[in-house]
Amino acid sequence: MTASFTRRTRLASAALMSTLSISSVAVGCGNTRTDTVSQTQKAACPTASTPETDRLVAQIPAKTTLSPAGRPARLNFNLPADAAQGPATWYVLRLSADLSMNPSQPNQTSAGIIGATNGRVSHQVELERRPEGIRLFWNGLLGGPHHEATTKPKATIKFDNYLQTTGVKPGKNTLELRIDQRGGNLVRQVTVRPGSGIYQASHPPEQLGLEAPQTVEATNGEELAVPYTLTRASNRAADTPTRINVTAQGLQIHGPSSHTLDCIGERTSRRFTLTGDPGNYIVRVSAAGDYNQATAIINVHIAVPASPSNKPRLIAAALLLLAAVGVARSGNIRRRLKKPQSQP
Amino acid sequence: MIKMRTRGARRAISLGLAGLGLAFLATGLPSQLTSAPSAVAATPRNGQCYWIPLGEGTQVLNYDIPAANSACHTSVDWAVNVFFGNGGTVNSVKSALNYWYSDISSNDMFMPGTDRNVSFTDKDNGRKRLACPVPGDQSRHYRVYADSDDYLYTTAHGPFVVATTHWDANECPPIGKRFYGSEEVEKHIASVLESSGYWAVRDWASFSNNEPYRVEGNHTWESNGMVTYISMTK
Repeated sequence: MTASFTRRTRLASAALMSTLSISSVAVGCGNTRTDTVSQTQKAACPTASTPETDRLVAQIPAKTTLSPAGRPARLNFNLPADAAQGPATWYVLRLSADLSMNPSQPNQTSAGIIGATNGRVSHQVELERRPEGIRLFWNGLLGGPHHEATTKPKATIKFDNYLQTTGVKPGKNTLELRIDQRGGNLVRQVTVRPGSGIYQASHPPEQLGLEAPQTVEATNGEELAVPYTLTRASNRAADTPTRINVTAQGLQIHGPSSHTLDCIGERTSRRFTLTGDPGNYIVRVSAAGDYNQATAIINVHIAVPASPSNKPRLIAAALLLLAAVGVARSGNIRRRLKKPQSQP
Repeated sequence: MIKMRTRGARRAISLGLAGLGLAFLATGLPSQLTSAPSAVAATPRNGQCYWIPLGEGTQVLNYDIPAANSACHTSVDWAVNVFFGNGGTVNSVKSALNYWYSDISSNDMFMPGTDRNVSFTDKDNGRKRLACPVPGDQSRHYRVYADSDDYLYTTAHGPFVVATTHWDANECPPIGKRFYGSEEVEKHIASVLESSGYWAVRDWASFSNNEPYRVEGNHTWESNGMVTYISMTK
């Protein structure tokens, strides 16, 4: 028990720490067009590589059935001695299934259909009974968030996602599919469709990434540079033109408010230039093209130019006020003392 | 005649000094006032808030905020202090904690972030033992956040949501209303979920939101800046 707990701690900590470092090295093809003016001269971009087809590693037998009262479905499969989730090879679970539900459940009843390898969850289909019907939701790195609401008792799940980093290991691995009913009876049955299983891919999860500083600080009157770096998974999709826009409510944009890159390469860095009055602002940089939309939100703080501390000024003000009161009171006291006394 | 001149001179001196003092105050005070924390909105320590990158274009703010468009430098609610990973979803967390936190709060708070580089702002009113504790009573309260009210996903963490916690006291009617104790509620949640078979790692990672004891209006800060990790798979 102790050994297991320690291992989990280390894995969990390593998992977070591995994501907290952001590289800022910029390497790219470097062809930029600015603003909305079209450019006739097409820059030379590297030839786009064709996305590779994923390779089946372990197939889930079609007609595998999950029922609320039944045990989880388990599938053991072997991976090579050097198997790992990235950076050279990546593992994906493709899950296609027919879902039978019980719409007569009370509002807010929820359930989950869970897929995990070695205890690490990669697939979580969420169901919730709402007044308008049953809401289905899943979220993965291949298809993004999926929302669906249905009043029918049947639905289809088609959910592909990358496995967790710690859900992949050399040798024997175990895939488990199960239903989490959470006190209700919302899921009646899940039946796996053909083609479901673990696949090996060569492309990483991200297609297009946008890196920018979390906070940019400047002084009033100075130009403010908002740098950004676009990163692209080179073998996921063709390197197509991408447009990057900046929106900065309350700030003035100097130069173009959008850049168009003919190609990105692996990384390309650029910057927008802004000015503004002292205060806090939120700047949004977003990239759109044939990729996922990438957005970065930057907190901008523009400070008043440095001035001497207010403390001496406040102390001086207080002393002067005290002196003023003192002078006025001493005048009154003297007047009272010098006032002639009435003789009886 | 001499007396009158002296009185006039004194009056002129005192008026001059008072005017000078007021002029100093007029130039000195506004900047002092604007940098003072608001009595209503809570502010992060040193006016600092950060995006926490979690991989694959996913990030969350390290505090929740009182309105969707709040500038977190000047207006926040609580520090993020619980991370429900490996199967953490809004519904799985609320279901697992329902025995201890069954009532629905009426106040939404907000969490901005990005999911695969796409921006979102989630809101949650949270769950409590008592929706609105009467004077003399108090209730633990947590809020969970993700994209689209469900969950976020990265290969490092699986499906996950993040949460903030605190105590509410004297809310209905609001006589001596106050909010405090985020560390205690964080520990309580970890403890009750462990007793249900989930596993937790206390002080798992820093979210750069350390808040030493500080009273700010009716809001009492105390956070060690370290997030508790809870795996939502038994």
